[in-house]
Amino acid sequence: MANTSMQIVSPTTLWAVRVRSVLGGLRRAPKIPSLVLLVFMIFAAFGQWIAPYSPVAVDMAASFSPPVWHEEGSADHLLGTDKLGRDILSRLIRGARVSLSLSLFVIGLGGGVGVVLGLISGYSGGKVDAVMQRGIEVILAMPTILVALVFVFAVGRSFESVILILSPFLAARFARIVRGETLSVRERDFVAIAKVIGTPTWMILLKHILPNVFNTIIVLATLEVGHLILLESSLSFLGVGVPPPQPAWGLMVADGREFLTSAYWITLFPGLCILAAVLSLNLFGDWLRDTLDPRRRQL
Amino acid sequence: MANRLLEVEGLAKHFRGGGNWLSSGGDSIRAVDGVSFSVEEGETFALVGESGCGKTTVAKMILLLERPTRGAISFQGKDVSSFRGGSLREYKRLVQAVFQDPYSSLNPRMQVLDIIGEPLRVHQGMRGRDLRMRVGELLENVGLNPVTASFFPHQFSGGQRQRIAIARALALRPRLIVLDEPVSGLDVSIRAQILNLLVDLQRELGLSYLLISHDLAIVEHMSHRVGVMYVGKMVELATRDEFYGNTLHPYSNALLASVPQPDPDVPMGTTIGGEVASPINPPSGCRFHTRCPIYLETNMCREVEPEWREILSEHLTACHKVEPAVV
Repeated sequence: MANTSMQIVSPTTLWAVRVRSVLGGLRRAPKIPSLVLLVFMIFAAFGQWIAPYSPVAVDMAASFSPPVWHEEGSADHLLGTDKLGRDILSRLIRGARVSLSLSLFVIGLGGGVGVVLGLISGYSGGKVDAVMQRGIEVILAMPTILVALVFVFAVGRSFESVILILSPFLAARFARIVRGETLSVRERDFVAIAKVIGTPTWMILLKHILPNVFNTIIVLATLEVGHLILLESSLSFLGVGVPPPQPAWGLMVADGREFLTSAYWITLFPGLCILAAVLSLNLFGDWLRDTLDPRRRQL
Repeated sequence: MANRLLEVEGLAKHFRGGGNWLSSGGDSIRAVDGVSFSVEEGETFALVGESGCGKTTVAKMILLLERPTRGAISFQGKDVSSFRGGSLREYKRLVQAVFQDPYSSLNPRMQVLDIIGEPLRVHQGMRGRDLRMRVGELLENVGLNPVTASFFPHQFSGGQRQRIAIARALALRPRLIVLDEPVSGLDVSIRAQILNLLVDLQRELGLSYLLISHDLAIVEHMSHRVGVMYVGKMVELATRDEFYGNTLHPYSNALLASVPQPDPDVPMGTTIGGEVASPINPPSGCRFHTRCPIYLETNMCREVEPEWREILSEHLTACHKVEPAVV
């Protein structure tokens, strides 16, 4: 111990390692999915200034006008109009906000609660775990759509009620999977050592268990966004989703279904948006999982 | 005799087999069934035995990871089960552990600074520059470069990882470190380095070790006293020189005979046949009688459990065939 300055671990190195790994990870981010998600996020945030028309402006004279590349199409409505003559492009742009924010709220609320419950259930084990798991099984056994129908009829159709009824179902799915992962992580030696040290339980959950189940949470969240967009469209189709005339992608697909043979564009473009969003989120999630795992990083 | 640091008295742990609230489950597994020994200040006490004999369960009970079914553990003369609040924190500060698998014992998502810093944060609220200083110092103590504090566990070899685990155990200046097979997970070529590091640290810091191992060569190298366990019971306890020079219990003899000698001219010792008896339904009388080479067809060995007696000074064993020399 001749040189005491040698013993000081430099804080800049510690941060440099973290920052470098984040930058390195960003450089490897998947380009097309990132771009797609960025565009959708811009639509969601600034849609009212980007969309050429109001999403609810009815123009019966222009109903069912096809996209611009058809002979009858016009440059006024690039992606055509629906049966009330509303501009599809404008509705897609404005619909991004409804579809994405609905998914984000449900993931944030339901997923957050589910992760916390799953961690507690898996880590404590015993009676606490048994009781919580039976509760989760009850929720998972209920038919989502049917329960949503009853709930929405009871409290009224709104954006908030859709979030409220979908969140518990998502929480149950998250809790179940996070619990399983927690069961395996809590048996690892570093958790035993933390107990020997006397680390408080909340800190063990936060610092040791949560980071090691994070991969699963990310993958699950990206998969569930797709699932939620589809659920929202099912609910809209049954008339209990986001209330019209608010544009939501699922609702638009449902609207156009009866004109599928004569005016495919009403269904096709929102469908493509759902496809692009779900696919991009999955690819993006894969990248995020790899980036957050120190073993997969190349420093 | 030096000061007694840890004393274990009649310790037992029975696990209930496979039951839940719907079914009462099978027979209980008597993993540890009445074990007594002590660890003195500054010494290494080795607990040896075949796998499944309950030595790791003893360690877990001392580390408060398992609750004993019976028996008592006392630390510095005080009953561990009575520790609450401050005294419990103090116990958790003074008793640390190093486990077998250096891959499982370091959180793969933490930087070394946070791994070694965890006990310092929890117990002393240390952070910032103080924490980095102390972690750097600890890394140097175990022969690693302080620069590595920013690395993640996967960037180290098995031996280096075990050094990190040792640095973490040293962080709070403990009195006792439980070493559960500290080198079994490492390549043979680096075992000696880690063992010598442990011996050096013991000498410098006056640490006590409870060494759990099945490797008798390591035990001979490191320990001051040795206890041999068989199916949840202690069968022999002696100082190292006594144990390696004048073994009394036939099981200990068999264990020593099964250690391969690095000399091709020395014939392989006689090994004992059979399997370790099951702790679910341990043999009656002496638990070793099913495999014992000196067992005679007397009912004594089969029916009467041998007494735990001091045969020579500080040399205890439980065997009917060994007669006490000191009375």
